[in-house]
Amino acid sequence: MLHFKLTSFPAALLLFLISVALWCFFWQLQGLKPNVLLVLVVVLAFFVPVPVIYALFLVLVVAWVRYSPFLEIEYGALALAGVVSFVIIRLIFFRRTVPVLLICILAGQTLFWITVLGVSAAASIPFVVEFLYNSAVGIALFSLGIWLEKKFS
Amino acid sequence: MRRLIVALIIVCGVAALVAYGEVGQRLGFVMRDLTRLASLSALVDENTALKKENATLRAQLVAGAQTQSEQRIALTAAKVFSLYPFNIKSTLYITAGAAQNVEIGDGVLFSPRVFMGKVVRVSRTTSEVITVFDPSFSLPVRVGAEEVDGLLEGGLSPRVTLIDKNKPVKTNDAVYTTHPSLAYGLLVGTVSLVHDDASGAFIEAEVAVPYVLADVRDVLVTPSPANAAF
Repeated sequence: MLHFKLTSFPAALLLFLISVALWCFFWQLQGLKPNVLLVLVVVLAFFVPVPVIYALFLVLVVAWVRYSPFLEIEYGALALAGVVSFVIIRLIFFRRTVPVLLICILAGQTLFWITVLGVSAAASIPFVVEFLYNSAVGIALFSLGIWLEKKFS
Repeated sequence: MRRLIVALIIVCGVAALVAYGEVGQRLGFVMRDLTRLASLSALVDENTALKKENATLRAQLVAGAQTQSEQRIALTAAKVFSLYPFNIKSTLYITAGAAQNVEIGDGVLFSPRVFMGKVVRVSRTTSEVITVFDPSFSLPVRVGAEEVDGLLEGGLSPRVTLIDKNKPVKTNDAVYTTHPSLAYGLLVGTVSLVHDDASGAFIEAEVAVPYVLADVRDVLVTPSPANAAF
């Protein structure tokens, strides 16, 4: 069953910092790479108990991802993916498990790609490869979050 | 509860600072510098400079072979300050905009005769550039000394499609621009692999570009002939 503790919060904060470091590393790479910040907003939805604090984290992530002088649809898509994950976990599955995490990552990534490029973009090989990368990063961050949560409890 | 309140205050403070921009930008520079240090940035920069020089010389050869007279290209230097960070597109952002007379459709070059992409959005002091690695990028090109026509299609591995099967295209042939919106004969890259396309009616050529996009720090903007004032 879904059970949030106040100790989830420091774990979420550490997850954020670790993900930002990972993000800076992946940003430099060529070719297909995991969308670490998308995974982060999904994983954070599993650890942040209060909607207002989760919204603050979303603001942080969107502020961090700012890469362009223009107002980009990607910022909104990222926040939307987070909100959808937050809702899926609390209103549909009520549990913190890896399959639920993967469903949330898939939903978030699909939403992100469709929002930015349109429906056809989600039926492509790069989409599938990115999902595999995102899943690997997501499972690693999720496991780390669970471990950190236990450390702080 | 006290711990939660303290953590909340910390997050609010960090959010305000990052949103303000300065801290996020500076931390970003620090992380970028650390990453560059880890990857022996001096060697990377030197390698990029050599590639640029080599590509320019190669492009001059191509231009010399393809055009009778040397084309004079007006260039505006700009720095690359950001790359699009996701997989969906391949764009970069440069420090030249309307104030530097940059317009939509202008070509962006790695070196004076090596083509990288086109300007697709302009603000006063910055511009967005779509690169040849973007899946939506396409451009008419010619290949090799025989000037074989083809269509450059962008993507993680840019390729020239719709090449006549009876035309001679081979590895290491130069791929260069022919679209009227750009100066003629700008080098895009060289052919790295030739194979039949999915339909079997045409051949395709994979294109190797003479730079690593993530390592490019300086570019040149050349006005599109359509935008240039004559």
